[in-house]
Amino acid sequence: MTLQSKESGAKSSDEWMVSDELKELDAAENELMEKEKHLTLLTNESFSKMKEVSKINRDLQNRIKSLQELSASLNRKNDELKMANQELERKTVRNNQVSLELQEKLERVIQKEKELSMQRDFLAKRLDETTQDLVKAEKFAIIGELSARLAHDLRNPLSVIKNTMDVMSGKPNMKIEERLQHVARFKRAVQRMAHQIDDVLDFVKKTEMVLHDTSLRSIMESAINVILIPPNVKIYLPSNDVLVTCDSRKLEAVFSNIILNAIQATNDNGEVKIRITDISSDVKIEFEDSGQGIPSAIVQKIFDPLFTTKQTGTGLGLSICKNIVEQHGGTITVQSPPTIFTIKLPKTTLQNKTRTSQGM
Amino acid sequence: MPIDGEASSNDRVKIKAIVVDDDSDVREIFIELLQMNDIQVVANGINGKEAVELYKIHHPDFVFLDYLMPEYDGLYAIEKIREFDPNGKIILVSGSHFERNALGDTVKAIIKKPIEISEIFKAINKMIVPTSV
Repeated sequence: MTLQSKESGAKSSDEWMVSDELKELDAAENELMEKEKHLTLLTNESFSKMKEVSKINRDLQNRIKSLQELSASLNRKNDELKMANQELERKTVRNNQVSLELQEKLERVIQKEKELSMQRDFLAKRLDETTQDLVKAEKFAIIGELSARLAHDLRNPLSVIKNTMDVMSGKPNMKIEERLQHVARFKRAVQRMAHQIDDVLDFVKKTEMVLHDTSLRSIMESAINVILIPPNVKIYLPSNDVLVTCDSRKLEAVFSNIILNAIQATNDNGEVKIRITDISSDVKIEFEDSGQGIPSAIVQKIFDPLFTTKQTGTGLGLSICKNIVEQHGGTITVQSPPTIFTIKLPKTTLQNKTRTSQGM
Repeated sequence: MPIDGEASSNDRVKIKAIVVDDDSDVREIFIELLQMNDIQVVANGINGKEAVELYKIHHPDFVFLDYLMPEYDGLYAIEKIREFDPNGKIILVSGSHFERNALGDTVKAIIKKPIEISEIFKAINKMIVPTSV
Protein backbone atom coordinates (compact mmCIF):
# COMPACT_ATOMS: atom_id res chain seq x y z
CA MET A 1 0.00 0.00 0.00
CA THR A 2 2.75 2.24 0.81
CA LEU A 3 4.31 1.54 -2.60
CA GLN A 4 1.00 2.22 -4.25
CA SER A 5 0.69 5.42 -2.41
CA LYS A 6 4.20 6.50 -3.30
CA GLU A 7 3.47 5.79 -6.96
CA SER A 8 0.16 7.40 -6.82
CA GLY A 9 1.86 10.11 -4.92
CA ALA A 10 3.76 10.99 -8.00
CA LYS A 11 0.76 11.18 -10.08
CA SER A 12 -2.78 11.81 -9.11
CA SER A 13 -4.16 9.83 -6.40
CA ASP A 14 -6.50 8.24 -8.88
CA GLU A 15 -3.66 7.62 -11.16
CA TRP A 16 -1.95 6.07 -8.28
CA MET A 17 -4.75 3.95 -7.61
CA VAL A 18 -5.17 2.79 -11.24
CA SER A 19 -1.57 2.06 -11.72
CA ASP A 20 -1.56 0.15 -8.53
CA GLU A 21 -4.48 -1.82 -9.69
CA LEU A 22 -2.90 -2.36 -13.10
CA LYS A 23 0.19 -3.50 -11.43
CA GLU A 24 -1.83 -5.78 -9.37
CA LEU A 25 -3.64 -6.98 -12.47
CA ASP A 26 -0.41 -7.54 -14.29
CA ALA A 27 0.92 -9.43 -11.42
CA ALA A 28 -2.24 -11.41 -11.21
CA GLU A 29 -2.14 -11.86 -14.95
CA ASN A 30 1.38 -13.10 -14.69
CA GLU A 31 0.48 -15.26 -11.90
CA LEU A 32 -2.44 -16.61 -13.90
CA MET A 33 -0.24 -17.16 -16.88
CA GLU A 34 2.20 -18.88 -14.65
CA LYS A 35 -0.56 -20.94 -13.27
CA GLU A 36 -1.94 -21.52 -16.74
CA LYS A 37 1.47 -22.62 -17.86
CA HIS A 38 1.70 -24.83 -14.91
CA LEU A 39 -1.74 -26.11 -15.49
CA THR A 40 -1.01 -26.71 -19.12
CA LEU A 41 2.05 -28.53 -18.07
CA LEU A 42 0.10 -30.46 -15.56
CA THR A 43 -2.59 -31.07 -18.11
CA ASN A 44 -0.05 -32.25 -20.57
CA GLU A 45 1.50 -34.34 -17.96
CA SER A 46 -1.77 -35.79 -16.85
CA PHE A 47 -2.80 -36.22 -20.46
CA SER A 48 0.24 -38.25 -21.23
CA LYS A 49 -0.27 -40.09 -18.03
CA MET A 50 -3.84 -40.67 -19.00
CA LYS A 51 -2.65 -41.82 -22.36
CA GLU A 52 -0.33 -44.18 -20.65
CA VAL A 53 -3.00 -45.36 -18.31
CA SER A 54 -5.44 -45.77 -21.11
CA LYS A 55 -2.83 -47.74 -22.99
CA ILE A 56 -2.27 -49.87 -19.92
CA ASN A 57 -5.96 -50.08 -19.61
CA ARG A 58 -6.28 -51.16 -23.23
CA ASP A 59 -3.58 -53.69 -22.70
CA LEU A 60 -5.30 -54.95 -19.63
CA GLN A 61 -8.57 -55.00 -21.47
CA ASN A 62 -6.92 -56.91 -24.24
CA ARG A 63 -5.51 -59.32 -21.75
CA ILE A 64 -8.81 -59.62 -20.01
CA LYS A 65 -10.38 -60.20 -23.36
CA SER A 66 -7.93 -62.87 -24.29
CA LEU A 67 -8.26 -64.33 -20.84
CA GLN A 68 -11.97 -64.25 -21.25
CA GLU A 69 -11.61 -65.90 -24.60
CA LEU A 70 -9.27 -68.41 -23.09
CA SER A 71 -11.69 -68.99 -20.30
CA ALA A 72 -14.52 -69.36 -22.80
CA SER A 73 -12.58 -71.84 -24.87
CA LEU A 74 -11.59 -73.64 -21.71
CA ASN A 75 -15.20 -73.76 -20.74
CA ARG A 76 -16.06 -74.99 -24.15
CA LYS A 77 -13.36 -77.60 -23.93
CA ASN A 78 -14.48 -78.47 -20.49
CA ASP A 79 -18.01 -78.87 -21.76
CA GLU A 80 -16.73 -81.00 -24.56
CA LEU A 81 -14.74 -83.04 -22.11
CA LYS A 82 -17.75 -83.36 -19.92
CA MET A 83 -19.76 -84.51 -22.87
CA ALA A 84 -17.04 -86.86 -23.90
CA ASN A 85 -16.85 -88.12 -20.39
CA GLN A 86 -20.57 -88.63 -20.32
CA GLU A 87 -20.38 -90.39 -23.64
CA LEU A 88 -17.56 -92.47 -22.28
CA GLU A 89 -19.55 -93.30 -19.22
CA ARG A 90 -22.46 -94.29 -21.40
CA LYS A 91 -20.11 -96.33 -23.52
CA THR A 92 -18.58 -97.91 -20.46
CA VAL A 93 -22.01 -98.88 -19.30
CA ARG A 94 -22.78 -100.26 -22.69
CA ASN A 95 -19.39 -101.98 -22.77
CA ASN A 96 -20.03 -103.53 -19.44
CA GLN A 97 -23.33 -104.78 -20.77
CA VAL A 98 -21.68 -106.12 -23.89
CA SER A 99 -18.94 -107.63 -21.82
CA LEU A 100 -21.52 -109.32 -19.65
CA GLU A 101 -23.29 -110.60 -22.71
CA LEU A 102 -19.97 -111.77 -24.11
CA GLN A 103 -19.17 -113.53 -20.91
CA GLU A 104 -22.52 -115.23 -21.01
CA LYS A 105 -21.95 -116.17 -24.61
CA LEU A 106 -18.45 -117.37 -23.83
CA GLU A 107 -19.82 -119.51 -21.06
CA ARG A 108 -22.36 -120.89 -23.49
CA VAL A 109 -19.56 -121.53 -26.00
CA ILE A 110 -17.52 -123.29 -23.34
CA GLN A 111 -20.56 -125.36 -22.46
CA LYS A 112 -21.10 -126.16 -26.13
CA GLU A 113 -17.43 -126.99 -26.45
CA LYS A 114 -17.70 -129.36 -23.53
CA GLU A 115 -20.74 -130.97 -25.07
CA LEU A 116 -18.97 -131.21 -28.42
CA SER A 117 -15.86 -132.72 -26.89
CA MET A 118 -18.07 -135.22 -25.09
CA GLN A 119 -19.80 -135.97 -28.36
CA ARG A 120 -16.43 -136.24 -30.08
CA ASP A 121 -15.18 -138.64 -27.43
CA PHE A 122 -18.36 -140.64 -27.81
CA LEU A 123 -17.99 -140.70 -31.60
CA ALA A 124 -14.32 -141.59 -31.32
CA LYS A 125 -15.26 -144.48 -29.07
CA ARG A 126 -17.96 -145.54 -31.49
CA LEU A 127 -15.49 -145.27 -34.36
CA ASP A 128 -12.98 -147.35 -32.44
CA GLU A 129 -15.59 -149.97 -31.71
CA THR A 130 -16.81 -149.98 -35.30
CA THR A 131 -13.25 -150.19 -36.58
CA GLN A 132 -12.54 -153.06 -34.23
CA ASP A 133 -15.71 -154.75 -35.38
CA LEU A 134 -14.69 -154.21 -38.98
CA VAL A 135 -11.19 -155.51 -38.33
CA LYS A 136 -12.72 -158.50 -36.58
CA ALA A 137 -15.17 -158.96 -39.45
CA GLU A 138 -12.33 -158.63 -41.93
CA LYS A 139 -10.27 -161.11 -39.92
CA PHE A 140 -13.19 -163.52 -39.93
CA ALA A 141 -13.63 -162.97 -43.65
CA ILE A 142 -9.92 -163.66 -44.17
CA ILE A 143 -10.07 -166.72 -41.92
CA GLY A 144 -13.17 -167.90 -43.76
CA GLU A 145 -11.58 -167.40 -47.13
CA LEU A 146 -8.33 -168.88 -45.85
CA SER A 147 -9.99 -172.05 -44.61
CA ALA A 148 -12.05 -172.36 -47.80
CA ARG A 149 -8.89 -171.91 -49.86
CA LEU A 150 -6.97 -174.33 -47.66
CA ALA A 151 -9.74 -176.90 -47.96
CA HIS A 152 -9.86 -176.43 -51.71
CA ASP A 153 -6.10 -176.65 -52.08
CA LEU A 154 -5.84 -179.72 -49.88
CA ARG A 155 -8.48 -181.53 -51.91
CA ASN A 156 -6.24 -181.81 -54.98
CA PRO A 157 -3.30 -183.60 -53.33
CA LEU A 158 -5.78 -185.57 -51.23
CA SER A 159 -7.44 -186.72 -54.43
CA VAL A 160 -4.06 -187.72 -55.83
CA ILE A 161 -3.31 -189.78 -52.71
CA LYS A 162 -6.71 -191.43 -52.68
CA ASN A 163 -6.78 -192.24 -56.42
CA THR A 164 -3.19 -193.52 -56.38
CA MET A 165 -4.17 -195.83 -53.51
CA ASP A 166 -7.22 -196.98 -55.50
CA VAL A 167 -5.09 -197.70 -58.55
CA MET A 168 -2.36 -199.46 -56.56
CA SER A 169 -4.81 -201.67 -54.70
CA GLY A 170 -6.54 -202.46 -57.98
CA LYS A 171 -3.24 -203.62 -59.50
CA PRO A 172 -1.51 -205.68 -56.83
CA ASN A 173 1.07 -207.04 -59.25
CA MET A 174 2.31 -203.70 -60.40
CA LYS A 175 5.75 -203.41 -61.91
CA ILE A 176 8.38 -201.72 -59.77
CA GLU A 177 8.79 -198.81 -62.25
CA GLU A 178 5.11 -198.07 -62.17
CA ARG A 179 5.07 -198.41 -58.39
CA LEU A 180 7.88 -195.85 -58.10
CA GLN A 181 5.88 -193.45 -60.27
CA HIS A 182 3.01 -193.73 -57.85
CA VAL A 183 5.27 -193.31 -54.85
CA ALA A 184 6.61 -190.10 -56.40
CA ARG A 185 3.01 -188.88 -56.73
CA PHE A 186 2.40 -189.67 -53.06
CA LYS A 187 5.50 -187.70 -52.12
CA ARG A 188 4.53 -184.67 -54.20
CA ALA A 189 1.01 -184.69 -52.79
CA VAL A 190 2.25 -184.89 -49.22
CA GLN A 191 4.78 -182.12 -49.84
CA ARG A 192 2.13 -179.89 -51.31
CA MET A 193 -0.17 -180.42 -48.37
CA ALA A 194 2.64 -179.72 -45.93
CA HIS A 195 3.52 -176.54 -47.84
CA GLN A 196 -0.07 -175.31 -47.82
CA ILE A 197 -0.39 -175.95 -44.10
CA ASP A 198 3.00 -174.34 -43.33
CA ASP A 199 2.07 -171.22 -45.26
CA VAL A 200 -1.20 -170.88 -43.42
CA LEU A 201 0.40 -171.48 -40.05
CA ASP A 202 3.17 -168.98 -40.81
CA PHE A 203 0.52 -166.47 -41.72
CA VAL A 204 -1.66 -167.11 -38.71
CA LYS A 205 0.98 -166.95 -36.01
CA LYS A 206 3.70 -164.36 -35.83
CA THR A 207 6.56 -166.10 -34.07
CA GLU A 208 9.11 -164.26 -31.93
CA MET A 209 12.26 -163.02 -33.60
CA VAL A 210 15.65 -164.51 -32.84
CA LEU A 211 18.12 -161.72 -33.60
CA HIS A 212 21.79 -162.16 -34.54
CA ASP A 213 24.29 -160.13 -36.54
CA THR A 214 24.28 -162.03 -39.81
CA SER A 215 25.81 -161.47 -43.24
CA LEU A 216 23.15 -160.82 -45.86
CA ARG A 217 25.09 -162.78 -48.48
CA SER A 218 25.16 -165.88 -46.30
CA ILE A 219 21.38 -165.66 -45.86
CA MET A 220 20.96 -165.29 -49.63
CA GLU A 221 23.20 -168.29 -50.26
CA SER A 222 21.22 -170.53 -47.93
CA ALA A 223 17.98 -169.20 -49.43
CA ILE A 224 19.17 -170.22 -52.90
CA ASN A 225 20.29 -173.62 -51.60
CA VAL A 226 16.73 -174.64 -50.80
CA ILE A 227 15.48 -173.66 -54.27
CA LEU A 228 15.66 -175.95 -57.28
CA ILE A 229 17.09 -173.58 -59.89
CA PRO A 230 16.14 -174.45 -63.49
CA PRO A 231 19.15 -174.87 -65.82
CA ASN A 232 18.27 -171.82 -67.95
CA VAL A 233 18.01 -169.43 -65.03
CA LYS A 234 21.07 -167.53 -63.82
CA ILE A 235 21.12 -165.95 -60.39
CA TYR A 236 23.60 -163.14 -59.75
CA LEU A 237 24.47 -162.66 -56.09
CA PRO A 238 25.88 -159.29 -55.02
CA SER A 239 29.66 -158.99 -54.71
CA ASN A 240 29.42 -156.83 -51.58
CA ASP A 241 28.02 -157.80 -48.19
CA VAL A 242 26.52 -156.10 -45.13
CA LEU A 243 26.02 -157.34 -41.57
CA VAL A 244 22.46 -156.95 -40.34
CA THR A 245 20.89 -157.65 -36.96
CA CYS A 246 18.06 -159.93 -37.96
CA ASP A 247 16.27 -163.24 -37.62
CA SER A 248 18.22 -165.03 -40.35
CA ARG A 249 15.75 -167.94 -40.66
CA LYS A 250 12.90 -165.55 -41.26
CA LEU A 251 14.87 -163.43 -43.73
CA GLU A 252 15.92 -166.60 -45.52
CA ALA A 253 12.24 -167.45 -46.00
CA VAL A 254 11.65 -163.96 -47.38
CA PHE A 255 14.60 -164.17 -49.80
CA SER A 256 13.74 -167.68 -51.04
CA ASN A 257 10.12 -166.65 -51.56
CA ILE A 258 11.08 -163.60 -53.63
CA ILE A 259 13.78 -165.47 -55.58
CA LEU A 260 11.34 -168.30 -56.31
CA ASN A 261 8.75 -165.80 -57.56
CA ALA A 262 11.44 -164.15 -59.69
CA ILE A 263 12.45 -167.50 -61.24
CA GLN A 264 8.82 -168.29 -61.99
CA ALA A 265 8.40 -164.83 -63.55
CA THR A 266 11.15 -165.66 -66.08
CA ASN A 267 9.25 -168.81 -67.15
CA ASP A 268 12.35 -170.78 -66.12
CA ASN A 269 14.43 -168.93 -68.68
CA GLY A 270 16.22 -165.72 -67.78
CA GLU A 271 18.14 -164.13 -64.96
CA VAL A 272 17.67 -162.83 -61.43
CA LYS A 273 19.98 -160.08 -60.17
CA ILE A 274 20.36 -159.40 -56.46
CA ARG A 275 21.92 -156.14 -55.24
CA ILE A 276 22.89 -154.87 -51.78
CA THR A 277 23.29 -151.13 -51.21
CA ASP A 278 24.69 -149.76 -47.95
CA ILE A 279 22.81 -146.55 -46.98
CA SER A 280 24.25 -145.36 -43.64
CA SER A 281 22.06 -146.97 -40.95
CA ASP A 282 19.92 -148.84 -43.49
CA VAL A 283 20.55 -151.44 -46.12
CA LYS A 284 18.70 -151.77 -49.42
CA ILE A 285 18.29 -155.19 -51.03
CA GLU A 286 16.96 -155.41 -54.59
CA PHE A 287 15.79 -158.46 -56.54
CA GLU A 288 15.42 -157.83 -60.27
CA ASP A 289 14.17 -160.42 -62.73
CA SER A 290 14.19 -160.49 -66.54
CA GLY A 291 10.54 -161.57 -66.68
CA GLN A 292 7.77 -159.74 -68.53
CA GLY A 293 6.79 -157.67 -65.51
CA ILE A 294 3.66 -157.47 -63.38
CA PRO A 295 0.46 -155.86 -64.75
CA SER A 296 -0.21 -152.58 -62.91
CA ALA A 297 -3.63 -153.79 -61.68
CA ILE A 298 -1.92 -156.65 -59.87
CA VAL A 299 1.03 -154.70 -58.45
CA GLN A 300 -1.17 -152.97 -55.88
CA LYS A 301 -2.63 -156.22 -54.53
CA ILE A 302 0.56 -158.23 -54.59
CA PHE A 303 1.17 -158.05 -50.83
CA ASP A 304 -2.48 -158.63 -49.87
CA PRO A 305 -3.14 -161.87 -48.05
CA LEU A 306 -4.83 -164.54 -50.20
CA PHE A 307 -4.02 -162.70 -53.42
CA THR A 308 -2.48 -165.10 -55.91
CA THR A 309 -2.05 -165.52 -59.63
CA LYS A 310 -0.96 -169.13 -59.26
CA GLN A 311 -3.23 -172.12 -59.35
CA THR A 312 -1.59 -173.86 -56.44
CA GLY A 313 -0.59 -170.74 -54.51
CA THR A 314 -1.98 -169.87 -51.12
CA GLY A 315 -1.69 -166.14 -51.75
CA LEU A 316 0.18 -165.88 -48.50
CA GLY A 317 3.86 -165.93 -49.57
CA LEU A 318 4.40 -162.21 -50.18
CA SER A 319 2.01 -161.29 -47.39
CA ILE A 320 4.19 -163.30 -44.99
CA CYS A 321 7.33 -161.68 -46.48
CA LYS A 322 5.85 -158.25 -45.78
CA ASN A 323 5.03 -159.24 -42.20
CA ILE A 324 8.57 -160.47 -41.59
CA VAL A 325 10.21 -157.38 -43.12
CA GLU A 326 7.95 -155.12 -41.06
CA GLN A 327 8.76 -157.14 -37.94
CA HIS A 328 12.38 -156.14 -38.63
CA GLY A 329 11.34 -152.47 -38.85
CA GLY A 330 11.83 -152.47 -42.61
CA THR A 331 9.76 -151.96 -45.74
CA ILE A 332 9.16 -153.98 -48.88
CA THR A 333 8.04 -152.44 -52.16
CA VAL A 334 7.74 -153.54 -55.76
CA GLN A 335 8.03 -151.79 -59.09
CA SER A 336 7.55 -153.16 -62.58
CA PRO A 337 8.66 -153.50 -65.33
CA PRO A 338 11.36 -154.65 -64.94
CA THR A 339 10.12 -156.23 -61.75
CA ILE A 340 12.26 -155.12 -58.81
CA PHE A 341 11.40 -156.08 -55.25
CA THR A 342 13.10 -153.66 -52.85
CA ILE A 343 13.58 -154.44 -49.18
CA LYS A 344 14.90 -151.73 -46.85
CA LEU A 345 16.11 -152.89 -43.47
CA PRO A 346 17.68 -151.06 -40.54
CA LYS A 347 21.09 -152.62 -39.87
CA THR A 348 20.32 -152.83 -36.18
CA THR A 349 16.82 -153.76 -35.09
CA LEU A 350 17.16 -152.49 -31.52
CA GLN A 351 13.52 -151.52 -31.07
CA ASN A 352 12.39 -154.94 -32.07
CA LYS A 353 14.96 -156.52 -29.82
CA THR A 354 13.53 -154.81 -26.75
CA ARG A 355 10.01 -155.48 -27.90
CA THR A 356 10.86 -159.14 -28.34
CA SER A 357 12.49 -159.41 -24.93
CA GLN A 358 9.48 -157.70 -23.36
CA GLY A 359 7.21 -160.00 -25.26
CA MET A 360 8.96 -163.03 -23.86
CA MET B 1 -13.60 -202.50 -56.39
CA PRO B 2 -17.13 -202.90 -55.09
CA ILE B 3 -18.51 -200.67 -57.79
CA ASP B 4 -19.29 -202.39 -61.05
CA GLY B 5 -22.29 -200.67 -62.55
CA GLU B 6 -23.97 -201.32 -65.88
CA ALA B 7 -21.79 -198.73 -67.55
CA SER B 8 -18.62 -200.67 -66.96
CA SER B 9 -19.64 -204.11 -68.20
CA ASN B 10 -17.30 -205.37 -70.89
CA ASP B 11 -19.85 -206.55 -73.43
CA ARG B 12 -21.03 -202.99 -73.98
CA VAL B 13 -19.32 -200.24 -75.86
CA LYS B 14 -17.02 -198.43 -73.47
CA ILE B 15 -17.97 -195.00 -72.22
CA LYS B 16 -15.86 -192.33 -73.91
CA ALA B 17 -14.75 -189.46 -71.72
CA ILE B 18 -12.45 -186.47 -71.66
CA VAL B 19 -10.74 -185.27 -68.49
CA VAL B 20 -9.84 -181.62 -67.98
CA ASP B 21 -7.82 -180.52 -64.94
CA ASP B 22 -4.83 -178.19 -64.67
CA ASP B 23 -3.18 -180.29 -61.95
CA SER B 24 -1.14 -182.93 -63.76
CA ASP B 25 -0.96 -185.37 -60.86
CA VAL B 26 -4.70 -185.20 -60.27
CA ARG B 27 -5.38 -185.55 -64.00
CA GLU B 28 -3.04 -188.48 -64.65
CA ILE B 29 -4.04 -190.64 -61.70
CA PHE B 30 -7.73 -189.89 -62.31
CA ILE B 31 -7.39 -191.02 -65.94
CA GLU B 32 -5.67 -194.19 -64.81
CA LEU B 33 -8.45 -194.87 -62.31
CA LEU B 34 -11.18 -194.27 -64.91
CA GLN B 35 -9.47 -196.56 -67.40
CA MET B 36 -9.10 -199.25 -64.75
CA ASN B 37 -12.87 -198.99 -64.44
CA ASP B 38 -13.51 -199.41 -68.18
CA ILE B 39 -14.06 -195.78 -69.01
CA GLN B 40 -12.11 -194.84 -72.11
CA VAL B 41 -10.43 -191.49 -71.74
CA VAL B 42 -10.09 -190.28 -75.31
CA ALA B 43 -8.40 -186.98 -74.52
CA ASN B 44 -7.37 -184.68 -71.72
CA GLY B 45 -6.71 -180.98 -71.30
CA ILE B 46 -5.58 -178.36 -68.81
CA ASN B 47 -8.16 -175.54 -69.09
CA GLY B 48 -11.65 -174.58 -70.18
CA LYS B 49 -10.62 -173.61 -73.69
CA GLU B 50 -9.00 -177.00 -74.30
CA ALA B 51 -12.13 -178.65 -72.91
CA VAL B 52 -14.26 -176.96 -75.58
CA GLU B 53 -11.84 -177.82 -78.39
CA LEU B 54 -11.53 -181.45 -77.28
CA TYR B 55 -15.33 -181.73 -76.96
CA LYS B 56 -15.79 -180.52 -80.54
CA ILE B 57 -13.28 -183.10 -81.83
CA HIS B 58 -14.28 -186.16 -79.78
CA HIS B 59 -17.94 -185.65 -78.82
CA PRO B 60 -17.40 -187.70 -75.66
CA ASP B 61 -20.19 -189.31 -73.59
CA PHE B 62 -18.92 -187.50 -70.52
CA VAL B 63 -16.69 -184.58 -69.64
CA PHE B 64 -14.95 -184.61 -66.29
CA LEU B 65 -14.23 -180.98 -65.71
CA ASP B 66 -12.27 -179.16 -63.02
CA TYR B 67 -13.62 -175.74 -62.04
CA LEU B 68 -10.68 -173.60 -61.01
CA MET B 69 -8.18 -173.48 -63.88
CA PRO B 70 -5.90 -170.78 -65.26
CA GLU B 71 -7.21 -168.40 -67.94
CA TYR B 72 -10.28 -170.40 -69.00
CA ASP B 73 -12.11 -171.98 -66.09
CA GLY B 74 -14.75 -174.69 -65.89
CA LEU B 75 -17.60 -172.19 -66.18
CA TYR B 76 -16.22 -170.98 -69.52
CA ALA B 77 -16.19 -174.56 -70.81
CA ILE B 78 -19.72 -175.29 -69.57
CA GLU B 79 -21.16 -172.19 -71.27
CA LYS B 80 -19.33 -172.81 -74.57
CA ILE B 81 -20.19 -176.51 -74.75
CA ARG B 82 -23.86 -175.80 -73.96
CA GLU B 83 -23.95 -173.39 -76.92
CA PHE B 84 -23.56 -176.20 -79.46
CA ASP B 85 -24.61 -179.22 -77.36
CA PRO B 86 -27.19 -178.29 -74.71
CA ASN B 87 -27.40 -181.94 -73.62
CA GLY B 88 -23.66 -182.45 -73.26
CA LYS B 89 -23.02 -184.50 -70.14
CA ILE B 90 -20.67 -182.57 -67.97
CA ILE B 91 -19.56 -183.78 -64.55
CA LEU B 92 -17.84 -181.09 -62.55
CA VAL B 93 -15.02 -182.44 -60.43
CA SER B 94 -14.27 -179.66 -58.05
CA GLY B 95 -12.16 -178.84 -55.08
CA SER B 96 -14.85 -177.16 -53.05
CA HIS B 97 -18.45 -176.13 -52.84
CA PHE B 98 -17.89 -172.53 -54.07
CA GLU B 99 -18.87 -173.75 -57.49
CA ARG B 100 -22.36 -174.85 -56.50
CA ASN B 101 -23.27 -171.22 -55.85
CA ALA B 102 -21.54 -169.91 -58.96
CA LEU B 103 -23.05 -172.48 -61.31
CA GLY B 104 -26.62 -172.89 -60.10
CA ASP B 105 -28.40 -175.42 -62.33
CA THR B 106 -25.97 -175.34 -65.23
CA VAL B 107 -24.49 -178.71 -64.30
CA LYS B 108 -26.38 -181.75 -63.13
CA ALA B 109 -23.48 -183.41 -61.36
CA ILE B 110 -20.83 -182.02 -59.12
CA ILE B 111 -18.31 -184.36 -57.56
CA LYS B 112 -16.06 -183.26 -54.76
CA LYS B 113 -12.39 -184.07 -54.53
CA PRO B 114 -10.88 -186.35 -53.31
CA ILE B 115 -12.45 -188.27 -56.17
CA GLU B 116 -14.37 -191.40 -55.11
CA ILE B 117 -14.90 -193.76 -58.05
CA SER B 118 -18.26 -194.92 -56.65
CA GLU B 119 -19.47 -191.28 -56.76
CA ILE B 120 -18.39 -191.11 -60.39
CA PHE B 121 -20.52 -194.14 -61.28
CA LYS B 122 -23.46 -192.81 -59.28
CA ALA B 123 -23.31 -189.58 -61.29
CA ILE B 124 -22.97 -191.43 -64.60
CA ASN B 125 -25.91 -193.70 -63.86
CA LYS B 126 -28.07 -190.81 -62.74
CA MET B 127 -27.37 -189.00 -65.98
CA ILE B 128 -27.87 -191.88 -68.41
CA VAL B 129 -30.96 -193.47 -66.84
CA PRO B 130 -33.50 -190.79 -67.95
CA THR B 131 -32.40 -190.95 -71.59
CA SER B 132 -32.52 -194.77 -71.68
CA VAL B 133 -36.09 -194.92 -70.36
